[in-house]
Amino acid sequence: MAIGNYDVLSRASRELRALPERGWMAVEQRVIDAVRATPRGGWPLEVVDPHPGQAPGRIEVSDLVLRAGVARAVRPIAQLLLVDVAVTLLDKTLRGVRVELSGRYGADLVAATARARTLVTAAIVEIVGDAGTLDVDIAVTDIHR
Amino acid sequence: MLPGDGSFPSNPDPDPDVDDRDLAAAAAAGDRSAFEILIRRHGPALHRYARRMTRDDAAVQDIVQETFVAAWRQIDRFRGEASPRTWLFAICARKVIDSHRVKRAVPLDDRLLDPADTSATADPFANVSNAEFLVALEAALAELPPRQRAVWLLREVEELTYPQIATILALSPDGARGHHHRARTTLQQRLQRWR
Repeated sequence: MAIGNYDVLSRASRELRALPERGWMAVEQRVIDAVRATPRGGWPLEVVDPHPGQAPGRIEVSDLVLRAGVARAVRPIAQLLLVDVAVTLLDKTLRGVRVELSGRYGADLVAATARARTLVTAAIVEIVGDAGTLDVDIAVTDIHR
Repeated sequence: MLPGDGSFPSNPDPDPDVDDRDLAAAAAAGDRSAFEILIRRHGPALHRYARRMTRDDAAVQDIVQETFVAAWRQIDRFRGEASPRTWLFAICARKVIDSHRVKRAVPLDDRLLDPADTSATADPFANVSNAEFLVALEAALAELPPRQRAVWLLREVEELTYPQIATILALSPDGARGHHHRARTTLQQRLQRWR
């Protein structure tokens, strides 16, 4: 095939980008399984026992469970991007949750953050059992387009 | 169909509109599902890079797997100075070096080099020529020194900028540009018959 006078290297990079990476398909699940089997360290926090007195002991979850739940809670809000989720603990007692977000330029960020607060509080209640005395701080610390 | 036989489609990105930084922040908070979207989104590119920088399939698989495991462990320290894509490539590039297998890459098996256009109306002569061109290209790439090959792949295939490449390979942007220039000169000579 006559290639013509255009840069052969432009063709080279274009052809390589167009090739499907079939080797990846063979290892994708193995990689995901390896990540799922890799623990990350977290801090234990006590949660409200939904059936107190029925069984000895107490229930604790990692702060990663709570932070991940909060991250998932705000993802549906199109005007906001998550920047960070931080928790404040006193021993194993949750004292506060701070959620830093980036707001889309021109969006109604007051309404968006109000919705974020509702969803975050619901996620905390779902995981911890009670958010009554918690300090839930929702902050827009950046703007994006 | 079996996974990996080439006919099994990879899981599509469940939400292509979600920003990488949003996913990285959620993963840092502990959200594995967000991290798995990053894996599916960037895995093919990392695999493509590792495959051309190493010599055997087992090493490629290990490098890509170790890259994502390391990224998962470290992601709570990711502060967004670089994009998540650049950050993942930087980890992958270190894993490639760690593997001590940076030698001449083996050109791809012909059966893997499907032409980009496999439609029924495609010109069969053009397709044969395309496959030959890809074989020649892979062979020429394999002959490049590893750093030149890495820079050329990151620039031309992954379409990263020189500052991003510099971050990934621990070079200066000018150094990356120099490696790219030398790689380009060599490849143009090797592929002269395709002009």
